[in-house]
Amino acid sequence: MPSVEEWEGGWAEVEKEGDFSHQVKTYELRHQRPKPGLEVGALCLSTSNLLKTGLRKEIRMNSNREPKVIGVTGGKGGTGKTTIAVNLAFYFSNAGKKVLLADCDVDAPSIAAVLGVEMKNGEEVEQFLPFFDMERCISCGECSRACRMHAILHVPDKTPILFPELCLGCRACAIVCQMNAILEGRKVVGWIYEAKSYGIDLLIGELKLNERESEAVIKELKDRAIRFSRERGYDLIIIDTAPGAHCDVALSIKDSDLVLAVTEPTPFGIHDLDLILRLANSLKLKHAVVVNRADLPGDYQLLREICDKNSSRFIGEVPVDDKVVQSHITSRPLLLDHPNSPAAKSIINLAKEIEEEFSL
Amino acid sequence: MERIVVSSSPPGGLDSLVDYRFARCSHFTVVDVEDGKIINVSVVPNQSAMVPHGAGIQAAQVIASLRAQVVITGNVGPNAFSSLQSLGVKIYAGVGGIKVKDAIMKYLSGSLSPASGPGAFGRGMGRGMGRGRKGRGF
Repeated sequence: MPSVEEWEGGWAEVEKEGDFSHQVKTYELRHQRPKPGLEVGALCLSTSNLLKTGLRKEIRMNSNREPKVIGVTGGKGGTGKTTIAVNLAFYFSNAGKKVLLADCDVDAPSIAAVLGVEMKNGEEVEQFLPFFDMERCISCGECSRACRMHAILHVPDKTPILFPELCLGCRACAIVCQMNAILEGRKVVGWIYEAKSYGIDLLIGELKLNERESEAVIKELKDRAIRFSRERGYDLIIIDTAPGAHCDVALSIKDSDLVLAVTEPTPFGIHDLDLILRLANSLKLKHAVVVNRADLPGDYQLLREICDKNSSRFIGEVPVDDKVVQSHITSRPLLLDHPNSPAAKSIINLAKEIEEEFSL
Repeated sequence: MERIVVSSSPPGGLDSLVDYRFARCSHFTVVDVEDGKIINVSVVPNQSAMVPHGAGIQAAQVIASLRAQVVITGNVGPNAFSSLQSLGVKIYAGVGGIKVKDAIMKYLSGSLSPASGPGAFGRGMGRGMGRGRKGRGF
């Protein structure tokens, strides 16, 4: 890493030796000293700790109008989570509700493409990155030993060397440093985009390629949803999640009033449905199952067994429909262009079920 | 005296094989040479073989604490390579699969050439796999 002197006063490009041009990143030294009373919470890297930042509780405390939150997820990829989330948002927005649609699939955000929105003027999501004050450092190696990610190499009798791409920004190094030799820097790990499309407010998170802390972007996205909710008073927040049943998904659906598990009647779909329903149960969330491509030949008995086992219920079935593909080609909502197609009708039925459930 | 560390397959020692991986090998064989002769051999188990991330840097840290001047191995990842470089350790790669004793002899006879750059990622546990990313992205 370059020395502090070289870094003072702003941005610089770090080009690594060898053919690693994809790893060129920008890092910035920000303050001279870390602020006192650093976020100790940042030390806790696990999702379970991030989950304690409750979206619901915050909104309830800060707004007289409490939105309903629907998490659209499903385990398997490509089951139609985004399509259903977008069209539900369109339906409710069309029905005069104030709707926020948040894309929490920060590894591969797709709502912008589905709605034909451009992702621009994104706000940076940043993370702490240590810089070393060479004058203060006594090369004791404490920071290197404290680093859980092994991102700091302790060179005897020299200033430590940081591998910024491994750093998760936990500040453990700054906390253990007796000499106060660790300076506050930052790195950009992703962006949050705001947009408006067909009357729906959009919040889209994007993780920087080759960064690993997607939770940081999702957390920022949800924080922003809280702020917007306070300012604008939404009736409904729809959260589109990543596939899978991992920590990002858990964090995304954490505060939902209803988790919609979108699946398909294939063995693969049913297997992943079991995972996501178990996740929802472990988070004590209310959930319901939507079967997409419902006319595919599949094992409905097994699907029902899985639902019963996890005490979930069917809330809708969406048939295979070419019009869905067409809506993706034109990047317009299905319900706008083909409101009478079979898939659109079933999504409208699904929306009415939800309306009834929440008495919207 | 010069101290050479060779990445080795178990159990380590002059008769075991040079491991193709540097940071993820099971043992480091530490060989001290003087005047072209082996004067001391010891074996250090590699604690960083199974860590989820940053094995290259941790292995380099071990090399630093052993105060070694030379590393002989099969393949060095980019993090380990730049770590070892900044520690001022000479790296000889591409020597995997032969006996440690033969590798030392080759080094002493001067027939090894120093590695110019790191090998590929991914001989080890990968970069950030197992953090719920299900193999996407990398």
